[in-house]
Amino acid sequence: MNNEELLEKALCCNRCGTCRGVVQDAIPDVAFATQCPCGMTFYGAYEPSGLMYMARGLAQGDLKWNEDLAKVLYSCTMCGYCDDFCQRGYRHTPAIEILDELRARVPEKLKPAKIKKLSKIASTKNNKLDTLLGYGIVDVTGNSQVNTILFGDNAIIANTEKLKEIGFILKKRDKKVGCFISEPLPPVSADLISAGAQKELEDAIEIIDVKIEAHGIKNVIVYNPESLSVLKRFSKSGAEFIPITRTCAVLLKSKKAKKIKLPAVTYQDPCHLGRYSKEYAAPREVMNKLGLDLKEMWRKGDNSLCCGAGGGVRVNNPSLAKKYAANRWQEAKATGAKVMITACPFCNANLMQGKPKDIKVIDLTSLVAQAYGYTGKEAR
Amino acid sequence: MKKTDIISKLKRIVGAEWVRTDDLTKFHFGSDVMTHFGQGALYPENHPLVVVMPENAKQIQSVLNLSKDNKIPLYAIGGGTVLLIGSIAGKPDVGITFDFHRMQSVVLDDDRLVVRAQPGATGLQVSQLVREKDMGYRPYFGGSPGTSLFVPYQIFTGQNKMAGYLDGMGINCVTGMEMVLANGEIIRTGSMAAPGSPAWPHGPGPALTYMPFFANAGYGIVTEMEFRLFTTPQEVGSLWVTFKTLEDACVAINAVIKSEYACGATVMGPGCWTHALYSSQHWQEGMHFVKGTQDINMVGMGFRGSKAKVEFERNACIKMLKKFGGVAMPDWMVAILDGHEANAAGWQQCNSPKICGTLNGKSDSGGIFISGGVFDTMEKLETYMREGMEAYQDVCRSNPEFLNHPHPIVRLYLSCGQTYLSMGGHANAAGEVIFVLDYASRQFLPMIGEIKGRFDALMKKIGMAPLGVGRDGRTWTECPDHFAVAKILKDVVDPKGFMAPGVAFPIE
Repeated sequence: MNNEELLEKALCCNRCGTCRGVVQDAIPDVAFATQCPCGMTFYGAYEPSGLMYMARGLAQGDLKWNEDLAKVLYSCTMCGYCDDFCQRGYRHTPAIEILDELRARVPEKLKPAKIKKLSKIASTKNNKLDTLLGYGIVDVTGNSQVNTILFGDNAIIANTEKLKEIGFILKKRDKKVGCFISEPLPPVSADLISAGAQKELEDAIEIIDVKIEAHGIKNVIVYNPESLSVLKRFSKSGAEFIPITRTCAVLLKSKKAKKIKLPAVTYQDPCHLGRYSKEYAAPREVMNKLGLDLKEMWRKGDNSLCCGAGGGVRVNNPSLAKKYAANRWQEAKATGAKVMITACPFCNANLMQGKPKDIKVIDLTSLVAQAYGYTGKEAR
Repeated sequence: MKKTDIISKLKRIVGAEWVRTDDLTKFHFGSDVMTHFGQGALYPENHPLVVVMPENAKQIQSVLNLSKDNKIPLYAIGGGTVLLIGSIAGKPDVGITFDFHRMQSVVLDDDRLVVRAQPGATGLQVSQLVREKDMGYRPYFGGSPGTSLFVPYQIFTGQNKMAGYLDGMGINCVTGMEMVLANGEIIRTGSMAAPGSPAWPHGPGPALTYMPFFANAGYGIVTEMEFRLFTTPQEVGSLWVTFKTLEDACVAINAVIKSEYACGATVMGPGCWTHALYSSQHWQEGMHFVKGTQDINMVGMGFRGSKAKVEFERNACIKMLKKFGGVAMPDWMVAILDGHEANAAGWQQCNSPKICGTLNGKSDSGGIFISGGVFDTMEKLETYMREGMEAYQDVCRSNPEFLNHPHPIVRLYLSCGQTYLSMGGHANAAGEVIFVLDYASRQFLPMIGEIKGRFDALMKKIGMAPLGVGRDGRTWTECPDHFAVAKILKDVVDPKGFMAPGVAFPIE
């Protein structure tokens, strides 16, 4: 994106500030009536309009990169609320595109070391994907018998326990599922965008696309929403990228599972599953099928508040991510729920920070596996 | 005092984290909606020296005293979207600018039927809180007729941006306020004068509570306000009546205003398309488009209350307006107009962007360009509107592509200047010419600039002031009585003239 294009997009924002609010008829407390995690924490230039003005200033040459600008930029979780809100009929500011571009433009010397690390695609050397073989999942490397695969993303590739759960769930499906096991696909995720490594992301997705097309893959099941969102946004393969929550919802409709006994639960919509991938229904369908008593928070669905992990904030500035998470916990506690369910490993990890002692955080996939009788001892 | 010393003192008052001097903050707070439109900006961008985010009235008082003692200009910005006089510093690289985002408290008092809000809260938040209570009451737009919500008075009025939002809280809903005056004194007025004071209804004419509205920190800083709540009506209704001449329409609306029957009565025209300022459905400023002729003169108004009241008032107004030659538009046509209300479901914190955003659904439309002024005689307003429209049409004739926007609504909106006349129970009148500025079609900006230039020249010729007040020297030739009083008050509370110089009041 050149300066002219960036300016064109940035000028859509006239700092009306409407994105500070939440599009809901009624809100019980002003504390729940704001949205942007960094805007509601620091105000001023940290609000979405400040970031849009940063783009404008840089594009016009009125601003030069410095530590202050980088600090503001890396306080943003890139949750996408401002973009989504604005696109709903305010000024149609393409905030996500602008934020992506800003991240890509940060001079190397201003990038925090921890952010730089995110620009490296997770290693596939020590992958544990062969765990899946024990659940009937076939290695599609050199095999084109299946048209649905599980994407070995960065959250599961070396996580044996999670792979066992997912393998167990996928085994319940009638149709065969494959995975690039011996030669995994590059486990891309939104971390690359957070680090400004768009080029690396595009290159990796090109490799993914080539392999997907070569093997005639039509459907790709993805566990990590941060991988799902970038695949959905940038892949040109024509394959459908399906969140695992959707797979679970479909499965639960056809194959009955036992009800899960839990006290009242609440649910955190992950930004990359909800706002980026528009999947709000499937997790709720799953919770309904599992017989859970869902107590929704006020900011839910497309108005959901970010947990605070995204944009590299959890990696780069854990205490800030914890501060953001505290906003969410304040609202979760108000529901009276004793379990916080998430559908994203990073929401899960971040919400563990500052978690009230009497509330559990549980991954939705784990509950689905449990509902089908998973004990962890089913592996080959 | 050195800049570094000022900043140190400010940090001691509000906390180091809440004093911002970085480039981005200054850039961000150096512009507002009035500077944004140009590319043909109405005012130049002026960066503040420092942005301060206070937490309470005491901190504001301390900062204000620091400014006063050191003659440092002090400005206040809310959302940065006020369309009248802007909120940014009057000169570049000077002054302390207050940002109120740390002051977002909203408290509903359902015994006294008021909601108390701080300046960092948005109208949307207030509305959401009131709705959650589902108590049969809601905020209310208290605009014309019969009260002082008109441009000539706005020099006295306006606080740090809480007027006229989603449910239409206008200044006339305000029952009391807490304010740090320019002399450092903290005053509480009306329903906030004493704890538990009743929320008494306002009377006609100016009151201490209304004085600082739209002065944009010219007199002091409002730190808390109480808004009155009103019962949700059983029924609402609209009436639209056309007249042969603008004069007939104006005389007719005067009769309506005196009857105190309708709400939001507005005269519109002449212009191809016109919009009214008031929505009976939402009790707020909204949009109604009327396909008319080049010389349409129309009166629009809303009604609310019981079914019987709405019916009675509507019939009474039809009867009254017919006496002046008015022809009521049929219900089916009004229904078409009402359909637009769904699109104008709320102006929220910022009015124009949403409206323009809804005009063409998904594209980049947005922004309103305004040329307008205040007039002390109807004749002057008529001259402005007539000659202005001629100038506008002249420019359009030379740029036919301007009239061929792909979206029908935008095309029709673009195809004319919006003119309206809003007048109330007082002598003055306001006229504005409004254009939708389509961001997908910025090639038209130079043309819009030309139109603005023509209107400004016209304004100068007539001798009236554009909307812009302190930012434009001509303001003080306008409505001399009102501005003279405003200036006397200003000299009393702010003899050093450090409060928002160059915004509501000119830099001396």
